[in-house]
Amino acid sequence: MPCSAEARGEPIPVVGTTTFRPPYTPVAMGAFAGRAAGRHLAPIRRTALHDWHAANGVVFIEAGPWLRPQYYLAPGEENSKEAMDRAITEEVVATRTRVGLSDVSSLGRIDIQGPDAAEFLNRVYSNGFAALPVGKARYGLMLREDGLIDDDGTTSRLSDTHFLMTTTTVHAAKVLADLEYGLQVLWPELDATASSVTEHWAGMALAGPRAREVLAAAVDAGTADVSNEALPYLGVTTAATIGGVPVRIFRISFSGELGFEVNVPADWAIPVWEALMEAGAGHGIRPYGLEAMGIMRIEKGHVAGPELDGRTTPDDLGLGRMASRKKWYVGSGMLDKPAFTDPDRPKLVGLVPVDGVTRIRAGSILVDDPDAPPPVRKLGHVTSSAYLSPTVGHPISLGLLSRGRERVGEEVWAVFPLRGLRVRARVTEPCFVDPQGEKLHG
Amino acid sequence: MAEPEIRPTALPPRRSALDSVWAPGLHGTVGSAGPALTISRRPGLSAVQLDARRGRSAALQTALRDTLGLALPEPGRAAAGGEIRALWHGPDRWMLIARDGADLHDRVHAIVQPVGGVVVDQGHGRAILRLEGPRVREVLAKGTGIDLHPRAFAEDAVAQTAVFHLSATIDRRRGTGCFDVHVMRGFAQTFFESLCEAAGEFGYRVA
Repeated sequence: MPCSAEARGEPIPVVGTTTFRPPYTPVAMGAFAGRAAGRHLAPIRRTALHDWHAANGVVFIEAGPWLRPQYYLAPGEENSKEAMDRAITEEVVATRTRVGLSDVSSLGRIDIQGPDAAEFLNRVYSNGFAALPVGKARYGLMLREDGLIDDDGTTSRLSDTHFLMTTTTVHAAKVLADLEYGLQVLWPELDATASSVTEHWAGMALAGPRAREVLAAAVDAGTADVSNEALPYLGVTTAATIGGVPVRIFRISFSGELGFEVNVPADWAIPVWEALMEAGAGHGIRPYGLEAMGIMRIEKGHVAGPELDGRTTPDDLGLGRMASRKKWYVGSGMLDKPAFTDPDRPKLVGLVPVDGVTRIRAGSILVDDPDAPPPVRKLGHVTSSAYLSPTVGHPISLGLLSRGRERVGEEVWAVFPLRGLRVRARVTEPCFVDPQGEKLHG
Repeated sequence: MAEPEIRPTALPPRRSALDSVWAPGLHGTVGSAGPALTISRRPGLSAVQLDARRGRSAALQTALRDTLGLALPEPGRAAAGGEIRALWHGPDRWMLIARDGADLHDRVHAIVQPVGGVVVDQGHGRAILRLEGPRVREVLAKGTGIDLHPRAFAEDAVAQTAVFHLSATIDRRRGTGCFDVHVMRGFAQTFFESLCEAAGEFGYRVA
């Protein structure tokens, strides 16, 4: 008010006070919130298997609007830090040594059809899709127009002109919007359609050395052969039924195990899940949640959201061979720009604590000398951490480290100044389990 | 002679997204005139999304009119033909709804595939709630910006909009005074709970 009075050359009483706007009197925040509080604060998105999880000891975790299983407690068990750690470790061990079952319904699913569907995919993915045979799945990488990675997922060819794309949970809506933009604006000459079918299907990942025996026991006799010969790695079949329910089976795996993803029309998700659990009972099957899935993908060096952070190129993540040099696609023109070929660029590596026990926090900064006077040169950061890999018996992490590939075997410091933490870490290859993929192809 | 419905005998019953929260009966502040809103479910429906490929819209519409007597609706409208109800869903895109067991996907696919139509099964991906009663517009008005007065939103009008912050399709049914609201399966429980909150002050019946 004094400033305003001075600017106008008038005394303060003449200028007066600010104009009142409603509410004129104090109003409790609760009156504005109304009923939009508690569970109504934000919409909750539930998978078709939600009620089964809730009845079987699940602890849910939010993934965007989705509620997904984080881990499962034993019947009657109280939740605690110890119970959580035990549950997660048991879920990993069960899946790596026997068989596990996980709800992957929240992954984006996009149905793509039309005579130009294959050409369309060839333009949006950095690797080739035109020659993908019918009945096969392929891992695909999508780049943004600036050449950085946008999203990843598998796409399967169901017929000559019909594909099913999967996306990450988080990017499902954005990828669909990008595909629509491509069809309507960039390439109106292409004859193809893209439709979200995420909600029509429930998805379940059956993984582990006994996965095939369990699947074979659950699939209705005479409908589909799931042997290694009939359904090899990356094979797809739409002929199977489980308990009479028509399902789609994809031999793909995020955990790095012998694995199958089973897609089921959502209203029949629970009976099919129960049929798989029953078929696996004699094999020690266990449902597993996001924590176990996260540990297993870190053990395999499979990239996820923390690595696909909008700053990484295919080559940064060891996926350079997926960026085709033979065709044009979104982002292909940008791959050779100097910043992308800088030898100092951070590359994906594995990191383990030199003492074999200390946890390395995700978000830690990688430096050569934590005691150097500031400014300390940052060599990279830790992207993902498993506080304990039950499979290798110690903590493991993934990180992006400048000249990382040349530094395998060397040591760096992972520091977290906010909490005063520092861990001496050894640089390793980013894959800790089954680097030859023998389990996957078994 | 009617053909018997052929289905695998082992097919289990469909479980809707609302099974665990559906509580039939009277709820909220029910006045002497009875509940002001009735919410019922339309479970077990078949639904397919129909797209016309590039330049095939006219041929597609002719084929459906000639075979099923179904005239695909214009933007913002719904139309019925035989046992199928079609809702406009976007440029050259419609949602077709029929009762379960009508073999909707295969029947429509057989008709439209030769003329450039694409059919995608969506039947398990949507929850459809039917709302009727004297206060139905007031309850929906709490959650959507669409004017549902008959002058602005006549029978067979269809809107794709947000209701209680969720994307939804509102379909004003002809001759019945009721609205069908379609939401994504995963959000069905959230939608139902918001609807019940909104209807509580008038009293409502869950059928």
